Amino acid sequence: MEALRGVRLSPRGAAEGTFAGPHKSHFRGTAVEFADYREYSPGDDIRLVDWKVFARTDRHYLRLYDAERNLLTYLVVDKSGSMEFSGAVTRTPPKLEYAARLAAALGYLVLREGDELGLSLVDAKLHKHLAAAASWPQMSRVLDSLGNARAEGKTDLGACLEQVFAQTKRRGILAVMSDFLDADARFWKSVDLFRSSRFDVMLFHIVHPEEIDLPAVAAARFVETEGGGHFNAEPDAVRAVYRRRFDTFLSEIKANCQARGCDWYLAKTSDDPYGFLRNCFLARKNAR
Amino acid sequence: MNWAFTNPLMLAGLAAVGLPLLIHWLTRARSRRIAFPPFKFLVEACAGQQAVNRLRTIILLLIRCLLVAALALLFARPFFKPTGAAANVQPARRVVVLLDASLSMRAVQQGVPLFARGQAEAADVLRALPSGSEAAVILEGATPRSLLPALSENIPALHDILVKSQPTFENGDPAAALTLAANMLNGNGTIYVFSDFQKSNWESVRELPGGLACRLRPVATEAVDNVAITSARMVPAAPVTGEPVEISCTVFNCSPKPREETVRLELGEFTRETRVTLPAFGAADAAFNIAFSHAGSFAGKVALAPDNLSEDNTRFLAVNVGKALEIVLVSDADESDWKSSAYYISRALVPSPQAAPGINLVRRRGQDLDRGILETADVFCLAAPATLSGEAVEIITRRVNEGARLISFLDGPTAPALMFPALNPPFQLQNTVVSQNGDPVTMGARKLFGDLEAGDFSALRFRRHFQNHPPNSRVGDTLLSYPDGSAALTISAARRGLMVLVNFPLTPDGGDFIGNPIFPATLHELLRALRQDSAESTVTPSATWTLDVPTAGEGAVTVTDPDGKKVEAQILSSGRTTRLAPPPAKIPGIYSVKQNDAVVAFAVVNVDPRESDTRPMAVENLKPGANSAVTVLRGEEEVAPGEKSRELWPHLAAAAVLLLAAEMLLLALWRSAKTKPVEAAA
Repeated sequence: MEALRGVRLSPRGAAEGTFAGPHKSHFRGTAVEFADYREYSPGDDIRLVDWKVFARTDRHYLRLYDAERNLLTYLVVDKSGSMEFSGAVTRTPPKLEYAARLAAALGYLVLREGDELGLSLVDAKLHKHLAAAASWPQMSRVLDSLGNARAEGKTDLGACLEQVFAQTKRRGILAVMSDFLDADARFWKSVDLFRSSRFDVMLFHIVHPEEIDLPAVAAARFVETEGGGHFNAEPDAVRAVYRRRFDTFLSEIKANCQARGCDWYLAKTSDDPYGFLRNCFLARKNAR
Repeated sequence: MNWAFTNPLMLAGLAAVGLPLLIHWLTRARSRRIAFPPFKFLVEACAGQQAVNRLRTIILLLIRCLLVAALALLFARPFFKPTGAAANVQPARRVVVLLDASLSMRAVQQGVPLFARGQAEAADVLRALPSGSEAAVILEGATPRSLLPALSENIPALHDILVKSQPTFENGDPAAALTLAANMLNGNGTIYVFSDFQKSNWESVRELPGGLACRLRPVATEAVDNVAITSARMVPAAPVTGEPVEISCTVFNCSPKPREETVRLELGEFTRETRVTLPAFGAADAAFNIAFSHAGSFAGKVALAPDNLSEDNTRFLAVNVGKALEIVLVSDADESDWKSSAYYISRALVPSPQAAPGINLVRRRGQDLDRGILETADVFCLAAPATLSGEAVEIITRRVNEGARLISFLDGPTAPALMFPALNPPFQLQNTVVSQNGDPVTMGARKLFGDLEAGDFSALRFRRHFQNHPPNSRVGDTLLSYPDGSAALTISAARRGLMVLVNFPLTPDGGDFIGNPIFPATLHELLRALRQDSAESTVTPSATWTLDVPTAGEGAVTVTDPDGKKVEAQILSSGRTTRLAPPPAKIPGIYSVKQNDAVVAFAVVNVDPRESDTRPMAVENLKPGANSAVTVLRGEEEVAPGEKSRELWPHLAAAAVLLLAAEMLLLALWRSAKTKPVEAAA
């Protein structure tokens, strides 16, 4: 966590948090920064009337200021069976555990700024949903949920994101941690939902190095993690072909993200999650 | 046409067809189960590639299985056998195939031994026989041998025995083989002869069997060039320690061009080489001079570099080197009696131990002779007066017949008793002739003293001698003779030994012979001449032979052949010397005789030198017998015309080579294709 010292998560757009916070918002409030004038209407707070303007013009105008709100961050963590993979030869933490560490670190950053944090654990359906809250007990709940998560079941990330969207009241940041192996049209449609609501969407793509380059074994019986299929292969014989296919997959994900203005970060489970997160935020800051 | 196999047992090799599959199964990479999230990408990308790999594996395994099958069939040597109408309508035949299995058939011509060529063609004849035919196969060696005791209708069995038969190391006897064939056919049938028609063997065939059809097939396309060592001699044959020994061998060049060859001697501690120039179809001698430093039995060989017939390029030698020449001088006179002949003989032979280090002279009275001395002596010197027991006479006679030497000094009243009738002496003693002035001697037909002048004897006078009359047939044995025709000195062969009769007066009153330096010189020259004979042991493969070996104690005596296999030898007699009768030797080489695991003697068996002359005779010159039809088959197709079975092994060999090449090519191609993308990816 030392790597995350000084790192701050900021939204690309305006924050719409419930409470006052450090992030700029579209609301008018009582901040010090002047925003505009508006003619008085009955019922307006009489304290906002600019008396100097009344003296000059004999008309009542209200003096308006920007409001600053806190940030809402929604973490969506994929806990499907494919996230259990920890490597056949090169052992690393399972992808789910890696995603959990990323989520916990991100949550910590959010709560440290007084922002609100929500969490959803998904596979084929929405399993656990913690509504956004800005308290340290929320951190404990998030950690408990992440710690108790078991990688199992099939994935339907699109449907789950639709459910998450339905439960969000205000816009903020959506951070999805998954291997995106079922990133189908429905998934991208649900991402579009968030983007159309001006959500700031960050996709953390968790992969194991052996998923990129196949395990270094002479022969293997590859078994489907979320199905019953199997396939005998000699990795050395098919490595090059497979690698081309997987690179295409990554390119497609990346292209879809760029087309929708989403941030896409490729995380290898062999990397340090905190260092990786720091690099992500630095890249995000530079890109702004 | 139908299938048949020359070596059907090799078909068992077809069981190995599954071997590539088994090896593939045993060495395949053990699959590890891996739950793999991007499974669908793997399947999408690699399913086609995997199918290609599987197809390649199947193709390779198929090629390897076919390769094994082709090899198994190749060794089984399949052939198509004619079975058509033409074959069926032929009447049954009576056939004897005579296959020359003598040593010369081991000669290699154009890379193929003549025997193998004849064997294959003989097999063709058997295979082409119509059903119901009777046949026999005779292998011609020193003794003709029929593969089956009589004509048989079981042609396949005969064929199997024929293809497994091997050539011998023996000399051929075609006349005996033809006689056996004629007896088996009993005046009705055909004799097929497959031979090199070696002149040295076939010249003895005066006439081919009558009343039979003879088909002669010369298996050699032309005369085989050959160089051979036809004999090897050692002088003296039984040397003693430190004595100069000359080993010589005769090298025969059976080719139309002069040649120069290197002859190599390997005997005991000695290894020598010498060059010898050989005229066309001529012989030359090569000689080596050595001296053995210690006593014992030694075996070795003289050899040439291998050629077309390499079996006759080596001649084996065995020698027993003694510590000294054992001479027993038998005389009843006192040792100090200076008037006796024995006195002068002993001093002439061994003036002092230093003067004759290679001679061990033992003097005995006639009645004091014991069996031990008689059985171990190399030379017997009998000087009158001497009276021998009957047993002593018997032992001496046997020993001389076995190779020992005998010198009888016939001077004195008991001289007639020193001539053993069993040894067939060249003359009989008659009365004693006395001459006051002395008689001279003249040189006889046989020359012994090459380095001595005849005049040396002509000056000598002899005052008495036994009169005798050697028959004309034994004139050749006479070295010196008196004017009355009596023999004064003779050397005669007695089986394997030699006998010298000295009809000289050997006392001071008998003349001036014993006082002359020529007397000791004559005795030593006689000894040398007696030991010059080094007739080579002529034991050849298939000949019956006996072995006399010195033995001690009761330990079992065993004989091992050149391959180290034990030979069951019958013991004919035992004692100080054991006489063994091994079965006829099958292979040439050095046979070791052991007692208590220690070698006590060596014996050698060498091939018959007649087989080295590979020049063939003109087959057309063989005289046909009465009512016999002789046909000379010049072409392979004439051996079994129209009936020739077709050998398939060349096709199978080609198929095997092609399969092997295809396997290697595909493997190299696919491996390079497999590694390229990986390198590119890397």
